Amino acid sequence: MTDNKEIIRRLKKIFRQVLNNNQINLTINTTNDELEQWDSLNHIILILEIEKYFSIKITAGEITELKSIRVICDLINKKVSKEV
Amino acid sequence: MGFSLKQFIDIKNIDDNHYDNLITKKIVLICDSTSQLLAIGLKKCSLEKGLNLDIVEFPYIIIEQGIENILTDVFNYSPDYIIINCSTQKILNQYYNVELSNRSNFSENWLISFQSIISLINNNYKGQIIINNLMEIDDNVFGNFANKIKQSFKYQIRDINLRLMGLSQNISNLHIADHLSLQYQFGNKVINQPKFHYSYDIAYNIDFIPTISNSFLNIITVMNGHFKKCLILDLDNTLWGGIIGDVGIENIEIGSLGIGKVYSDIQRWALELKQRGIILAICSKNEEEIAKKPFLNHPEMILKLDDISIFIANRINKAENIQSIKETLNISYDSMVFIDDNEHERNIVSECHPDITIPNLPSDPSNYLDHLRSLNLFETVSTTEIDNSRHEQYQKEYQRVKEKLVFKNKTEYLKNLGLTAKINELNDFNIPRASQLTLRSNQFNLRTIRYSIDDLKNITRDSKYINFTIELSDKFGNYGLICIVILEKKNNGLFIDSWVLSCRAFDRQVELLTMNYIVKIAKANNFKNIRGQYIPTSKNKMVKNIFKNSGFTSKNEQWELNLNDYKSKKCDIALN
Repeated sequence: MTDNKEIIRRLKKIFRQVLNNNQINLTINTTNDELEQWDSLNHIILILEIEKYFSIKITAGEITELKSIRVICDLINKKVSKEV
Repeated sequence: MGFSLKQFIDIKNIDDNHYDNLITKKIVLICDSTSQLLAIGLKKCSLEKGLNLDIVEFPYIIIEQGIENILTDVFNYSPDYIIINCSTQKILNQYYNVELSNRSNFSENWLISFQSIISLINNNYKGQIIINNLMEIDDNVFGNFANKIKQSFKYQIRDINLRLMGLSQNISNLHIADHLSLQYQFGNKVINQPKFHYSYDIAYNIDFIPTISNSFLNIITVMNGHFKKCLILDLDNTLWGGIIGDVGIENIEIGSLGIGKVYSDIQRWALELKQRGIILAICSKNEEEIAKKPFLNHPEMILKLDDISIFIANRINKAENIQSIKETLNISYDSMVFIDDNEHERNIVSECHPDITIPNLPSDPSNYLDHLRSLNLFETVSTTEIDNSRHEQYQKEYQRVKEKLVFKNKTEYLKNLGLTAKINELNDFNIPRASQLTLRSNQFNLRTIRYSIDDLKNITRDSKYINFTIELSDKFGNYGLICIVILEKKNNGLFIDSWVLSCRAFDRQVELLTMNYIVKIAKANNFKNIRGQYIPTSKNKMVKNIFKNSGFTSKNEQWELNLNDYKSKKCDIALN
């Protein structure tokens, strides 16, 4: 999976569900400062959902780095291509 | 096990007004790590148990290092329960900070600080405190040798757990949620999630938070009257191997025959429960005479006929039989557990009586007992001596029920019973039982206020209150202490703060005797009126009209009785 568009489309679904807000739109440039509900508790839930959906494992170090959609996409791309 | 993340999200966005009809308890949650997820878990799991929690969180508090800075806030909130969640990881860090030469005293010092904090809390606090015991971390610095030296963390952590048990035995409002037993049931891989521990200071795997939450909640729900009183057992292939009607008494598997040890152990477990006060009942599709034979004559049976309060073996469907067990015992379905190897029977019963707990059994009988024990079905917060004799009470009740059928009308039946009552004030000897009565009784309970032993002791010392208890006996035997009344002196009148009657004394006119006695007290003390209140719950509908029927009139959501209007009620109970 190398198509960021497809990843963002899926992330949007996850974000809308976890943050309980159907108005959320994500672009490659969205960061966690822009989304009010993206707090630390929701961050954990987001990580778990992303791990589950993309069948990847995110490490302790990476968890705290994933503050923008761009970084998340890069990480997913890296991990998915490695694990396939 | 575990909730879906979706459920987490739902609970985060919950609207409290939704749950107005549930009993709400105020909780202070003190955690040495993040508290947010545990608070969500507690909330979610409590709603499943029909309880609503209002939770105030105090995260990152290491309790044995002092809590003076939060104490005012805690007391201002006046919680019903203080839950303290300690993680072993934090304690291990403290231990590593202690100099080598002092480590063999670590557990002792930990307990001393902890105990002083508890005393500090209890100076100003009347509620309950729940702390978890500590899951073990084996740092394997010493390997097996750790067992042989006092300064190892292994030794110290085990010693803390043992000392905590000792402490809780001396402090009646301190309860222990047994996380250690969760650890050996589920294992570290299920419980821990190091990456969130290191990145967000979350003590447990998120999937494990419901289990952790329930271990605290089990104690709270028991204190609010939800617990199991009766175990109903099937016979063939549940209490022994084989179908007795086919193979005969000499060929059932129990004891040394076949896999008989499997069933011996199940029987031994049931016997232990019976000795703790759980009522045992048998419900089997069998001929009664054949079904009873092993209990009377088989030398390797652990359970004897005397251990069984109600024995039903017939060809009627089990749902009906269980209904008559329920009516004889006069308890609710949700306080019963039904164990049967046959899935079909389990389904029939569960469909008719959805509130009964009916564990699914593994396919191999040798796994039954392990599975049943793991479910922790019989949580309790107290035992008294009378727990041991409870089944006798019910055996007598079964005689009474049988006798009832002989008499044409109720009055004649009651007269024939020869009821005698003894009225006493609360004292050191009857307070444990009286407290248990307030904790356990849900049906004849006007305001459903639960009183701990300490609460009742305080009431006896407070001149604002008048109290009495009733013991009842009849020609079949003693019912024990079955009623407690607490009256509060208020505005020249008496307010009925609590009036609880045990279900085993229903239909004996004890309520008439009680009301007569309350009026007698009021008159003797020159009070002008008696006021009462009925607080409805899902279980106490039977006392909804008690005030109306006693001549009270409704006034501002309360009931009031003018003493001059009261006509003493006739009842067939002799006073001793």
